[in-house]
Amino acid sequence: MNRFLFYLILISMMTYMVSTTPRTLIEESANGTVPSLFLAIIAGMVVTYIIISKFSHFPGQGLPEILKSYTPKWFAMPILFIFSIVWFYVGLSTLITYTFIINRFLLPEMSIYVVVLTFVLIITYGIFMTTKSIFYMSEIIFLIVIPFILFVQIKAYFSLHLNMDYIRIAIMQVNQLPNYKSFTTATFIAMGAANLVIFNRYFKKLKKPTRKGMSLLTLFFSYILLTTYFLPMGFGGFDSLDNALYPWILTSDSIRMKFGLIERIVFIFIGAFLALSVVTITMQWHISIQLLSSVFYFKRFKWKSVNLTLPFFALCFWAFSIYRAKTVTSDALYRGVEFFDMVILPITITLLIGSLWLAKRGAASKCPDTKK
Amino acid sequence: MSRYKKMIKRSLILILLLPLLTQAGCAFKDIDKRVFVVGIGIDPSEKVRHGFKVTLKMIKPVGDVKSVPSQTYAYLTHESESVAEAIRMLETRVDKVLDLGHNRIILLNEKLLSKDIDTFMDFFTRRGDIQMITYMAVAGTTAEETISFEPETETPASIALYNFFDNTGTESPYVLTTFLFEFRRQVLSKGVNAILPIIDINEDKTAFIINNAIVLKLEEKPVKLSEVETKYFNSLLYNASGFSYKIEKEDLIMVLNIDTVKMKYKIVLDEGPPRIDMKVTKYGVIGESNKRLDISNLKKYDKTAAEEMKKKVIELLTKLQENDIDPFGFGLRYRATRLSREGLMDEWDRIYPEIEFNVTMDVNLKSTGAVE
Repeated sequence: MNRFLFYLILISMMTYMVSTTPRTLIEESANGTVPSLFLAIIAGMVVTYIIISKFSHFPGQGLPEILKSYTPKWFAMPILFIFSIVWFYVGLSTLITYTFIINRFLLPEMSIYVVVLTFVLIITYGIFMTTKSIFYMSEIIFLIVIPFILFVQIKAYFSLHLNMDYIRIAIMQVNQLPNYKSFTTATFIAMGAANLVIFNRYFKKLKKPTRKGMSLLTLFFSYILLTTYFLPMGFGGFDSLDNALYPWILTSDSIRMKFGLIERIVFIFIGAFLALSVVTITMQWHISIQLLSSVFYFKRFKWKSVNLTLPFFALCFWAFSIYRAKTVTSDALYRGVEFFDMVILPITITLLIGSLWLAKRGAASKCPDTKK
Repeated sequence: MSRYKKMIKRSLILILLLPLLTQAGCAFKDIDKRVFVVGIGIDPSEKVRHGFKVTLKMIKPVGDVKSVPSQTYAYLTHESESVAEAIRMLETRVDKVLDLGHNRIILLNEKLLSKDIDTFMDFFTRRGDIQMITYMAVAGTTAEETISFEPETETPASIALYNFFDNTGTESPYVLTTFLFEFRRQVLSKGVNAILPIIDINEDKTAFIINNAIVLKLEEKPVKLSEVETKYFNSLLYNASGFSYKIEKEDLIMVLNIDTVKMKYKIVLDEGPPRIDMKVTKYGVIGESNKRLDISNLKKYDKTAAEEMKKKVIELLTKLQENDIDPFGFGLRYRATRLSREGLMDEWDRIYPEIEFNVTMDVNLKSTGAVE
């Protein structure tokens, strides 16, 4: 498997480690999160396998090209439009979550507009890059940031003040029935492969996932998911964590670097995850804007010889995210994300796999020679 | 076309560089406009009913530490109905921003411990900028007096109380360290009682004495541990080094220096009456003796020491049991080793007062020190 495919999947997994995912999982900790996690590992990996192998039939093509050439127009256009909104919404909720984190923990006195604007400026630069450059950016940031994150986590696992008993209490909840909310929330973070809808343009020779690649991916996913859920328990306690809005920030704040340059590790930690979140949002909005422009492209909306369609969409993104960041409460944000995970995510994945399947049939009937 | 692209790129880079201008300073407020709180003390209020008296220890920023002749601390006190309100009122008395992000110690008055802890601790965990690795302690007299006490060994720009607890300065098994996150999880969890160190001031008003601890009981009078009990507790649970022990046998008096302590325990229910099997292993050397020692007799000394120390551990465990407090978290272990079900904690509450302790003590002396 291509290493960029790994970055694509892993970065989106890691981004949600500190944002909304742990909160939802821990909220349901007494109602069967543990069995849901194991189901989510299986489901996440199966869906990843299906998506990658479906896309491997269309090397070098994004979803817009695939759908436009192999399915009727009345089917392709609404699907692409819905997908662009879905990806925009995912990016937006990531953006707002991180804006809230910055506003609460790093810069409590700074205006929320400034925070959102700083984010959006950098991301806007990112989404106009070519798909290839985004991959290179993701590789660089991934390699810089991962050592920090691993360092903090290893330090946490070996901390004297990590109480394993709390983690074991959490594991002992395994005898409950799995619940749907935890399951979809946990599955969501494995959905990085869905980003292939645009990023498949880069993969000219995408193959079906190999056994080695899939088992590595399963290993990483299990580690990330289990750490996301269990490590905060060891620091925050089992009964006492359900009212924490950002369990991972609380956890990283509980780790002390005795002889470090700064004792409070949380700043390094938030910084590292901010970098990852910028990459994730860039990817998601890049997808969104590309999908959107495949549906609506105003050929005559020009200034001199530069087409203004994309900048116009970017401007809409700005306006909407600033408006949303100002008005949304953190509760509404969480409910929104939960609703997304529970309802929109399964629909989106079904639509994606379904349309790819249709497109494959369309392709087979168009040129029967390639059918094997 | 390419010219315009270049232009757009250049202007985008310029826009990206603009936010750098906002980075000059600490979130728009410079360091000379801030005053750093380095200690918070909370007492029950004398004037306001059910209120609190909050004392802040602040450090004034100075240009050069060497040129400062004496201490540069300032103290402020305010009484109010809640902690947040008191701190808000204190802000009106300082010309600078109160920065709580560097605070590392919160002192509580002993009288507050039998009240509802949530009424005043909530403020500290709700605010994002207060460190979770803040030390928690109980004042021997009042929190106000203790926080504003400056011992003779305190030098400018170093805060004596931090050095006690952070294990980079003095390291002693008598000094128990409890972080805010530990305190929070212990107070809110079922099956464990929170334990805090007590800070006393000696009679001459020259130094701190920190060698006791206090165990909280939910809305009841807390239980104090003696020096020896604190030492044993701390070395058993946190493997505190620097543990020394005096043995007197016949006319031989010797002091052992223990540097590693390992403790494991298991709750056994199915063999006869319920009991806790605790296995303690200690490694150390002989530190002082009134006689010439024979190095071949080390095994004998091991045994004598083990017997004596075993008695002390059982005494400590029995005292905790008699007072119905559980700072070790045996209750947590009980929950952690059984599948979750209703009423698990009620079962434990019935078992704990009758449980027996079976302590196995292993002492391994490595040498007689530098001389025989």
